[in-house]
Amino acid sequence: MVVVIPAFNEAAVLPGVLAELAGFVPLTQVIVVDDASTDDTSGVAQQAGARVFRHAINRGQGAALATGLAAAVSMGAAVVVTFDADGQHDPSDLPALIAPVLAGHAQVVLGTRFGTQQALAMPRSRRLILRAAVWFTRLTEQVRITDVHNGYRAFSAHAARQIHLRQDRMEHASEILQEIRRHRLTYVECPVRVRYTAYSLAKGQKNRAAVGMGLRLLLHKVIG
Amino acid sequence: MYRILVAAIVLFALAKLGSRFRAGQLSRSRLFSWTALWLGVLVLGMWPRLSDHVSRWVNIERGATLLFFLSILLLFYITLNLHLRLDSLQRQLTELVRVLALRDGLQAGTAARPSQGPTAGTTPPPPLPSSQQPTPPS
Repeated sequence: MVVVIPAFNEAAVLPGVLAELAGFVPLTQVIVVDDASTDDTSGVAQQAGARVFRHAINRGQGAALATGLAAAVSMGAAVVVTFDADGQHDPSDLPALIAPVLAGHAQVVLGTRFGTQQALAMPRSRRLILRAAVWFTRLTEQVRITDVHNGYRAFSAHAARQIHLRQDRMEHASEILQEIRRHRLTYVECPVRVRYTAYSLAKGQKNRAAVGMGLRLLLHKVIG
Repeated sequence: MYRILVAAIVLFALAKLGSRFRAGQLSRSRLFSWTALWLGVLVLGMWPRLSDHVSRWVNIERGATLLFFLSILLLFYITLNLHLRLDSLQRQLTELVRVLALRDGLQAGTAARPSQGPTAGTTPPPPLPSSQQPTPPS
């Protein structure tokens, strides 16, 4: 298993995230893709023992994720897990997340905060935006899932090789679903915990960005 | 008076196109299409009533209205073209950044494959394209 963490200016929290992750996976199997951070994200990741791949210029989370997937495939990973750098994800969910892939039941496992576990301290406005994203995705991609923008996912090696992301920014989340449909990859959802902190809420996407994201996705679908 | 102005603007535009073409900054096909466009502007500038004849063929009352519609269509086309080219450039830039990151990261890392546990099979790594092959350390 290889864990891919796209990161931009996460030097403050990354040591803690990696220390927590180390209890579940050797850090030599953790890839941090530094998307041209202006702080010491690469340095703290290397110090902790993770593999670091660094973008020379900032290209967006989608681009960083695609770089991480390519690196993981190059390293020969049989399972690739994507994991957020801001501490929202709980490493103790890893075994349940990768189990369907290891058992051959699914090629992609998508984490959902709307499963049996309730997201801790999710703001109401965020919940509404995420519900709207689910509705939008069902309409445009015909993929029925409950949580579109959850960065906690597991891919088989085959799926990681097949998925080709062209959206560099946050629209990649919907594009992953598009790729799942295009390549007829089998997928399941897995309940995961999402921890909202003042840091992660301040760092994360603003709710008003959702409208722009939706318009860009529609434009991409029409024009290509 | 306005005919002189139109002619001057068109001649200036054609001269600019010519110099760009000679400097190798404009392809032959683009030179042709832009020249055709500016010659059209010149013709309509010299004989403005011509647009009224053309517009009646397509059931539009006034030539000015037809020219307005055609200008809007042309601008939409140009905008779409620019969007597609910009999108392509962005993708190429991301691909370049990725290749460099992978090259440097794989060179810096160890060659050991991660262990995947007793129940998972070993998947041999796919070969990198020749452009991404890391160079052996000196």
